[in-house]
Amino acid sequence: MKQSYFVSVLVGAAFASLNAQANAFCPSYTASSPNNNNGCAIEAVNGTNPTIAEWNDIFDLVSQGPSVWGNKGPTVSDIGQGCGKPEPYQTVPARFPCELLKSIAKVESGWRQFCVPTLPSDQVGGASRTIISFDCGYGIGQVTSGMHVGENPSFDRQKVASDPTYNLATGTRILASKWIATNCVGDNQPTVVEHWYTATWAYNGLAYVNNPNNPNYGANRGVWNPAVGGGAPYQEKVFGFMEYTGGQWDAVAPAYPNRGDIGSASNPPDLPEPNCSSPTNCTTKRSTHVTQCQPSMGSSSSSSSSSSSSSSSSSSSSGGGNGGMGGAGGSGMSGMGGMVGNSSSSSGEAGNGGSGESVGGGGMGGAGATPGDVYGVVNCGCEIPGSNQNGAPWSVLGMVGLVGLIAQRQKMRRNHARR
Amino acid sequence: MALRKLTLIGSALGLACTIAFATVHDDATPSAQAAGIVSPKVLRAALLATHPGAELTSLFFVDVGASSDLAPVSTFAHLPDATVRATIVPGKTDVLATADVTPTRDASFNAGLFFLRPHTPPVRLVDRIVHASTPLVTTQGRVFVSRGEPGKEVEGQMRIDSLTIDEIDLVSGQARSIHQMQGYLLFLAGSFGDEIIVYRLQPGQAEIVAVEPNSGKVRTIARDLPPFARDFSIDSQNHTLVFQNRHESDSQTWTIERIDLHSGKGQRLYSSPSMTLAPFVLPRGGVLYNPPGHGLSSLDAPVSIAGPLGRGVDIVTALTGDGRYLAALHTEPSNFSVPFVVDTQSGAARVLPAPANTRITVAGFVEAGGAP
Repeated sequence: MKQSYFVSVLVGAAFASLNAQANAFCPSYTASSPNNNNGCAIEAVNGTNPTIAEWNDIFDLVSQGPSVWGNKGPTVSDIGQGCGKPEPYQTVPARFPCELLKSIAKVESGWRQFCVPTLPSDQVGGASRTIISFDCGYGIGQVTSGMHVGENPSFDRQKVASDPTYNLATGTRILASKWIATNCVGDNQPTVVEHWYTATWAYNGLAYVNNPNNPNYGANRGVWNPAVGGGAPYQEKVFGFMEYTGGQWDAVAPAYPNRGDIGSASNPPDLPEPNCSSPTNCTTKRSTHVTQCQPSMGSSSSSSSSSSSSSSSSSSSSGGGNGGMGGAGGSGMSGMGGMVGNSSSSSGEAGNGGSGESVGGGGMGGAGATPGDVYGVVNCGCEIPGSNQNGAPWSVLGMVGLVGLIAQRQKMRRNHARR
Repeated sequence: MALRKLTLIGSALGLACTIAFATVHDDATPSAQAAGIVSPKVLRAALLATHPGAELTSLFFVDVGASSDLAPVSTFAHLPDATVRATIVPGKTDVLATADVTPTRDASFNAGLFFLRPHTPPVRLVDRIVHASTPLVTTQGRVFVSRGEPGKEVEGQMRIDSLTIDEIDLVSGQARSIHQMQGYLLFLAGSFGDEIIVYRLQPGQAEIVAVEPNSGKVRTIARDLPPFARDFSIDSQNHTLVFQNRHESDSQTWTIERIDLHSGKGQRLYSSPSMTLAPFVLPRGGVLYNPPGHGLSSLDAPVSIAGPLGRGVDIVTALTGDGRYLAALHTEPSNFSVPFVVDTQSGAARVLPAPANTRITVAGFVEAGGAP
């Protein structure tokens, strides 16, 4: 019995790992699903994802805020700028570093608005359609607020389900509210990527699990690398994607606050200008970065520089002009046919990591990339265990064996039929 | 029929070897590790390996000095890319592991506790475990975990959660709370005699307490600490707790502190701008740490260890019962860590075989001859 269990588990685990890249995890708890237990109000919509280039255009557009995206997204309230270091506080139209939006979307949905559902069971297969996680997080931005039965938000819920640009723009409403509700980082400049550190923390929840001093996380984890993964505060994962972009956009190596300045008060305090090279190293330094996606926001910094100092960012106090639509082309959804964006990307949807029931004395767990739920998605450059050069001959041996087994069964059937 | 069975088994073995056998570190060993052999005797460690993004983690028993004969003895399922922590039950081959199992946007309490016994299906004992927390198993085999439930969210304010330290009955899976608190964190720092040492964090308050698990009686050891403590270890013989903290006023200076577990009296052992000192106290006294730019070294321990794997930070994770050998992870930022073993008598170190390109957790040493 023990032997048969062992063998069956071996086969199960091995088979599951071979299929690791075949199925990407994709929930779609659409309104009409009998498994929609959390009151998701809106039906999933058929669609295919924009290409990587189209996604980048969408992010670049949305990052410039409602004054630029116009009717492509909902309204977003103004946000603060300046913290007296030296710029006095003032309100300005909301805007966001595109690097931040791209990285948050990586963590939240793996840059997917649509996918072929693998969950719940009644939705499996069929056309590619809106990602809807179990808690009614919709699409690329995993918009949950206002998406439940009985809620009546001020935005168009149908568009959140169907339109990636509108979805992403809607998601920034929450981010803007967190920027407003949290204390300053540096001089509180919306164009400085690192100044969003605490707002990004709050975007996932101001819980201790995201405190960089949490002793449950590795002492020397460094910058979070999606190809390695592992435990880290949410905002460190987001910042990690800025640095490890998989070539999908221009990387930025953000500076981190000194975690020695982040204690355990009732809220994260005002933080000095971030200058640490990683969450676990403040003996080597980094400069902060003005976003590269807002060339006309009024900042004196070069938009192409990735190492602007905080002083340069503070010059954006005028609120800047709304710099037109440059670079926002292709943000419409008319050109979305064809490619399923992520499948062609290096970060691809590498699929589930083997059967969850393959347990016991079984084979090594398989690699996967975007399973789990849609939030917390981590794309990686992982490979199926055993798929390295050393493993190939063993794979061949295994496959040859299985093929031989099938051939033998067919031969037996033929013989049986002749008899 | 026999041929079919043979073919099936052969296929399975081939594929299993693909998964496990062929992924052993061959090229990931830093340069200095070959400085001597740890022991001619079999010294076996329990480690867990998780591929990035994977929904499965496997347990391996690896022999120091072995080459590449790795085969998992247990595998369990969890959420993709889960953070896995583990510890071995002293004197047994049983391992307790935590990993993310509950799909929630907030990861705070999303982990489950797994009981792993070689060649036996894993058992998921309890959920609501603090994310990325390591279970504590005392030398008597009692098991404790940190658990909780999220509190109410208030915009702009840190959330205050309902936290407990629970003892888990490995037979029934029943949980019994021995300590409760409203706050940020209850961290299991270790065991000392019959007491559990807990690092407690509340708004504006960090302290170390001892909890007697049968009565729930709490004894405060140190209060009003800077709330940055981490990397705890206990020297039971000299009744001291050693850990890293931040300087009480200088946010750029990090310290190694030693506290007497009876009197609460503290002593600063070291200060540095480095926040990765990762100290570890040996059972009979003597502190190891990571001086800036070096690996594991002796601060005041009577051993000759000097960064056996070179630059990086070495995190000590386990000791043999006699205290002679220690297991550690050689970590470099943003990279996979490398498990290794050090003979504290000679200072010689050796890298443990492990599946390549995986996140490794060292659960401890397999002792008392328990061959799986």
